Amino acid sequence: MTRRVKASFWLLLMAAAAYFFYCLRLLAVPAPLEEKKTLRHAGFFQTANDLYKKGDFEGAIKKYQEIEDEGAMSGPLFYNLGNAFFRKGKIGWAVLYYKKAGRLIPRDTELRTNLLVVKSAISVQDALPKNPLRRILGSSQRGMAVDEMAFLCGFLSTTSTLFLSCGLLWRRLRKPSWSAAGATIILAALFAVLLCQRITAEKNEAVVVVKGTPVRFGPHETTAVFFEIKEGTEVVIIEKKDRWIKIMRPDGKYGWIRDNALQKINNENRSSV
Amino acid sequence: MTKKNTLLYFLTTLFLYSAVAVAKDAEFRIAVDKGKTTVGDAVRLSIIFDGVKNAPAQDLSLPRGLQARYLGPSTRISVINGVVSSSVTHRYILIPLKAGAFQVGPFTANVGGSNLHSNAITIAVSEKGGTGAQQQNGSVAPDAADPKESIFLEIAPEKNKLYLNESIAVVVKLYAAGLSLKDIQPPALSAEGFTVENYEEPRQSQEIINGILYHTVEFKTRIFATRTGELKIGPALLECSLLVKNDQGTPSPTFDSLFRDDFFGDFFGMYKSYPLKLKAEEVAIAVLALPEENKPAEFTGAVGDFTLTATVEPRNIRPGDPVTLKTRVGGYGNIHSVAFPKLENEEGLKVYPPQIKDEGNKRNFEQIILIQRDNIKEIPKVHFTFFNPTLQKYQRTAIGPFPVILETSLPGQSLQKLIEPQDTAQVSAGREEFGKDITFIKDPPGMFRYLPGDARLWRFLYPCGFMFCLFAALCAIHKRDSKIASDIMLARRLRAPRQARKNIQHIKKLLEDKKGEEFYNAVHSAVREYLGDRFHLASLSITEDVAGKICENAAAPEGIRKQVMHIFRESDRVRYSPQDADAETMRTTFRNLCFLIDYFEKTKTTHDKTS
Repeated sequence: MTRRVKASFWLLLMAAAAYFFYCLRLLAVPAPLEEKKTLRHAGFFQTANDLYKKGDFEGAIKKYQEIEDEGAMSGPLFYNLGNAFFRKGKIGWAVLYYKKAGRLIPRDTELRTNLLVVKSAISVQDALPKNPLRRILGSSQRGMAVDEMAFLCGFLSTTSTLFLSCGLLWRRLRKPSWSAAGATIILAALFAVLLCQRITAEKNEAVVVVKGTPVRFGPHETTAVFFEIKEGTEVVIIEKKDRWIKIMRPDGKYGWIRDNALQKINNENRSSV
Repeated sequence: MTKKNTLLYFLTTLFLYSAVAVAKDAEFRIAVDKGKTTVGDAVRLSIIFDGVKNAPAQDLSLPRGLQARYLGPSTRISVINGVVSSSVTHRYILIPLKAGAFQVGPFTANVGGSNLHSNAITIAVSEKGGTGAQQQNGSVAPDAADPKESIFLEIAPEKNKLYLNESIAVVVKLYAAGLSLKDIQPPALSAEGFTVENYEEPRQSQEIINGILYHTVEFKTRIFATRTGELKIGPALLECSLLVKNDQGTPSPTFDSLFRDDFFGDFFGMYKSYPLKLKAEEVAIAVLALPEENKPAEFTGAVGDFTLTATVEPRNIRPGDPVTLKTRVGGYGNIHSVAFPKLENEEGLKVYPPQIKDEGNKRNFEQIILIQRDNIKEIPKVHFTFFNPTLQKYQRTAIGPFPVILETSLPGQSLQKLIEPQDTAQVSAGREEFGKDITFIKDPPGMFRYLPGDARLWRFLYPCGFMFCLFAALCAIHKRDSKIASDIMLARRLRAPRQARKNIQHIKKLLEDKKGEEFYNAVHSAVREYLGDRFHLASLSITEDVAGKICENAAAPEGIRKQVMHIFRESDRVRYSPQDADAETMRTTFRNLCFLIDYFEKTKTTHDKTS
């Protein structure tokens, strides 16, 4: 092995280590530019919590949403917003914010409990995917945030390059290294596919926020009502036409609904669909 | 009469005729495509309004065991001998779910302010695979004993009397005999006053009821009551699709037996699927309040039969060091109603709110405890109180105490103080009422993120591209080095310009120092070395003649050949009579040398092509 090859390998190793630290930092610490904002928003958050404890849920919601309007997102923020909406009796909005929180803190026990309580209050159950493989993949996806999936994907692909390099440079290690590289590449590809699928799917997920919304056969008030959808039901947006949205219920039924009855779950903004 | 007037006359006449037709001929009737069928085989029902232009779809009140799905309306207007007639037909699919004779209609509809009454039709439904005679004449007596439906849904709670917060299993079971179903959705279970958990994986099995084999799909969930009184579970609504053989095709008798097979039937579209909505009747449940008698003060609402385990780590500590108390409550019951177990005595300890984590029917609590006094010898007992519905009494379970060894603090070292957010210790579980309420809000705001999901995502993935570039570079370098190591010809070819550059630097220095003899010696060896490496020859074997031949073989121009030979000649001359080296000649030789190497580096010779 020449000096140049050795140097390249060490450079690759150092780059991999730097990448892992960079990712861990991204997951755990806010960027320095964001620190000032974070402090201010933490203050708002505390004020909103105090209002909530005093029973002023409307005030708490306003304060929490002030933080959200400034582009900040956090699991506890959405979770508390969900609680405040539940206290106000707005079940649909509560489900919406619990779902938003679920995308950031998917393994939070309290969040899961609250969502269960809220959903059972409106008798809405999650539909099971028909395909068993999808069921397994779906449950593994639900247990991870998108950031974590992206990190895992990056981690696996970086590890695979290290294994490949080891196999390339040291003949003795070729067999185990390349087996490990193959396994990590397959896993990385699987996570990449799941990630793409999840990002695509999540873009069109929405929650019904208006009680007893009629779902019609066509995008017009005069068309017949197909079924009535419960507040808090999660739906998938299929198509948009003027002020009407074509939705798919978890059981696969399609229909048209007014756009003001829906809110998208994506954590990017708070406008109606 | 103008064209405009003709059209107006025609339209007025048409309107008057049709108005008369509605007033005179309005008729309401129903019809089916077949009067005899078997369980699960669809019948088409048409509700026809003759003599009207507009009539709404009807809500059909049908006998139990018969399900209807609305397909859509159609309107027909015809003009025969100047008589205009119109009719509206609403089409439905009727799916019989049990054998028997079903009377459909008479229905009443309000059309244009007047009530119209339809005729009634009887549909005879026989069991699938029943006797030929029975199927042939459909002779099922209308007043026969009510047979069990071929498909039905039932709610079966574990028990009908339970305590507040007590968790019980509820099974919603779908029964189907001799019918093919697909797309079975989990049932929507109404349970006011209960909290319903998600369904477990559905389980399929078979059951015989009254001698009939039913295929069953079991949806199991757990519920717990959040208020007392006479409550009801249900109704449960389940949606699925019923597969019905499509009899409209006339398959070839030769292939009939083959393609009537279920697999081919589905594949070739011989089956039609009809959406089906099944309803299970509600079940009454009595929810009892927890007894007030002997109710412990520390009871927080946990109902079930639980066990408590706990560990404390580390045991050897210094004052101010944190210890972790890990507590686990497991067993049978409503795990959501379990609040964190309390320490018997918190004096001298700073107890932080616990982290809660659920694992199946176990709830884990992890608590940080700071020891604030030097005389603490143990972490006190942890106790947990719950109501056991089987024994119908309150039970208290405790574990501990946990001895700790407190190492003496170093001189001048005081107890550590941790910075904690205001009121953190006060905000903890215990304020909420489990089952009735949601869990309390979170006090730490978590990590705020300011980029949307997609943008954040790429921050993780972009560096991977850089890693792949590095890896590709490593591969390229490794490949090149391996080739050089195994191919001596290539190695010499690549070495030639590098070495030539080095030699030229040295020769240039000698030129500047005007060291004639050394200069020509260096030039001579540089040319030989370069040509040797460049054309893969032994350097020492290269003479003036050999160099000339090399140029000829490489198809170099005559000028180049002459320059090479001139360099050799000049070098030989000066090497043997050093006084002949003048500065101008040396410069010319140096220029020629540079030009020569430059030429061979820039030009692809025949030798390169061959190799």
